[in-house]
Amino acid sequence: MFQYYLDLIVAAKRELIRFRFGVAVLFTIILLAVLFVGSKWPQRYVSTSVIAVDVTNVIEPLLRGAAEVADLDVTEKVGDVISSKRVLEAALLRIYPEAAGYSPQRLENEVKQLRANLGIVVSRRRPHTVVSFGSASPTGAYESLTAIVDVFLEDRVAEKQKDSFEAYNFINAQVVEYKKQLESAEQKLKAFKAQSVDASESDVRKRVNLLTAEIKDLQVEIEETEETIRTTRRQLKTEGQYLEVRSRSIALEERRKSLQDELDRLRLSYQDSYPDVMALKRQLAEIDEALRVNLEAAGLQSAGQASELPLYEELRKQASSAEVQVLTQRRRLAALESQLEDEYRLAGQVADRQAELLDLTRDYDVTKSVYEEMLERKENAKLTVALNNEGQGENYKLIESPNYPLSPSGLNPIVIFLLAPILAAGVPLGLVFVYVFLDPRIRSSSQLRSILPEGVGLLASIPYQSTPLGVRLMRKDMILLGLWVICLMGFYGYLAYIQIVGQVVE
Amino acid sequence: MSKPIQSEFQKAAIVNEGQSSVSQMTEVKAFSTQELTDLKLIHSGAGAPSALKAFRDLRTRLMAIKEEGNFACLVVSAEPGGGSHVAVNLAAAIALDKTKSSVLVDCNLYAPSVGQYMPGGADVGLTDYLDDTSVSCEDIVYGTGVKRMRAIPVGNNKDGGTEKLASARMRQLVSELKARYSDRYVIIDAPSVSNYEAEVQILSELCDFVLLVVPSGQITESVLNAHIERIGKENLAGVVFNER
Repeated sequence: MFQYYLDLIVAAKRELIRFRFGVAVLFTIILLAVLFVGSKWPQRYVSTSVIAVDVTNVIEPLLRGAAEVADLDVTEKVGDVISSKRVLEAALLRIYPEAAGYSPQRLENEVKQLRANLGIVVSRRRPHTVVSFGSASPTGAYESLTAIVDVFLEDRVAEKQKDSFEAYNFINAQVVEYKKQLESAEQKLKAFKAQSVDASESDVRKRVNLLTAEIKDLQVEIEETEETIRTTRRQLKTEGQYLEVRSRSIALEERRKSLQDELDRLRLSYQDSYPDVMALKRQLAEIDEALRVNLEAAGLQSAGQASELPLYEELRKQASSAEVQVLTQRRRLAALESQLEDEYRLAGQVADRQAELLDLTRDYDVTKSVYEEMLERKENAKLTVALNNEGQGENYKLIESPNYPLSPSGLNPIVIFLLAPILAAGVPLGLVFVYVFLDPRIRSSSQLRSILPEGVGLLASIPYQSTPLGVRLMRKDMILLGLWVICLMGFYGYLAYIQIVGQVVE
Repeated sequence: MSKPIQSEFQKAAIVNEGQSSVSQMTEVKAFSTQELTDLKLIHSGAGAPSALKAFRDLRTRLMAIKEEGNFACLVVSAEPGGGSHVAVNLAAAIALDKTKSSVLVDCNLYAPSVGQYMPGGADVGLTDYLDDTSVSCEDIVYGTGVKRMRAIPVGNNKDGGTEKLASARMRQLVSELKARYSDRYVIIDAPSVSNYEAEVQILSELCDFVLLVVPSGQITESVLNAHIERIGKENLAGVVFNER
């Protein structure tokens, strides 16, 4: 590695000699260029000031636990506020009162200029902000910074009062809002209670149970009545046979009676041997026989006896009565079922209303709670505003007022003048080194030895040989260049001296 | 071509060429130390000891490659510049040994440089010899300002150089130069391999080995490897780094 750097230096030296005139030209150009830059280097005076921040947040304690507020970095806020257009415009008007008549565009440019010259450094350890302002003149720097800092402090005082007042207004507006909400919740609750039926869920359940029991009882009764009707009808069917015999017997007896009347009338006129009388007697005998057979079949003695059966009539009465009863029971069942359906519908409505009631009650409770809390905060806000007016809250203290810069800051032209020869010599030297470093061409025997393929050896390394003429020419060149550098440095030193003396006098 | 006019001195030198002893070789007036220094030629005086040592080492290493007898070495530069300097100084380094002599053949037809080392000048040279059979080997060998070192200049007709170098007479010349004196070493200065690859190929076949000169800051590794590939490792005696 050492050999590598040695080779690099040797190669660079060789290239420097090779490009000696180019190096001299570059040296001259850089030296004069730096001299020019140094002479034109702007003088910059910087005035600084330190602002400390003492923070007591107004909003945060008021809203603690109720709402989150943004956690602002107050020291950063100082920088933002100072460099804001509002503050800088006000400062500009204070520095240059005639700026009031500027066009918006020019005003904007002036503000930008102020902002560009403004420096803000925030100290992390302590809530300090170092504000600086750079200008070509010390007075300009001092006056500008003084104006900016004054405007900032005044702005903060006004802003602080505005903040606390706004906070109070905010709380107050919230109180009013919650009061409205509370009243609204109360109204809703009242309206609901007024509208809701006086029925609880248990009442409805009781009524449903009662109706269900009644319906069941009624259904049993209907079944019983229907069974009674069926039984009575079966009995009436049996009694019907007697009714038939009776009606036939009555018809036969009526026929016999009419035949008997006819016979009695004929006997008045005719003898029993009269054919018509005979025929009538024969017909009467046949009717008697038929009557007898009919009554015997029904087990009765006579037709009149059959018509007087009370059971049949009783059964008919019972059947009729039972039919009427079952009709009545069915109507009652329908009415009960309708009532039951109504009760079921009522039960659903009762659940919905209960849920609605719960919602309304909860809304009311929450709103009432927040309202009461906001009332307390409103009182706190009143107190905070009062405290703020007494100097509490976010305070900005001027730890160091703007200083008047006595000497320019930044790069001193003297340093530039001193560094110029080093730079002028270093740049060509560096360029040559870079050239040699980057150029892949073989420049040393050690490099050549390292890259030769296997089987090919480096037999010799022939050193540079110069002729006496070459040596003389080289010496002449070097003397000329040396003289040039000496003259140049003398000229440079003289100009640099004039510049430095001129600055000191200023 | 007419018989070249030769100086008395040169004639005497050539007459003596016919003898087989180095010690009996007739020399031209030797360069002074100042002249040697001006021509960047090594010498045993207090000139450039590092260069002298480098060429002596190079001479020793080349002789170690060819253990017995003399050799013909082609000195070729990877890029133009620096090859002739190595060739002439190698010849001079060999000639420093009083038991040995060297002959430098200038085959760099496109940038000849040997003429400056011959105080007596030269009328005919290599190309004349290759063109004209009436010109003998003795006619083109000249004495130089360095003791025991001879030189063959390029000559007057450089047209068709490649073909001339590839001719049988060229092969005959190299053989004759090697064979005439067992203690005479033939150093052939060739053009750069980067520009005249064909000439280098032809000449490398006539020689025992090739010495590749790498001038400082001229070529990259890849170019060097390409040149070595063209010459062939088997023909290559080694590489010389020339800081120029």
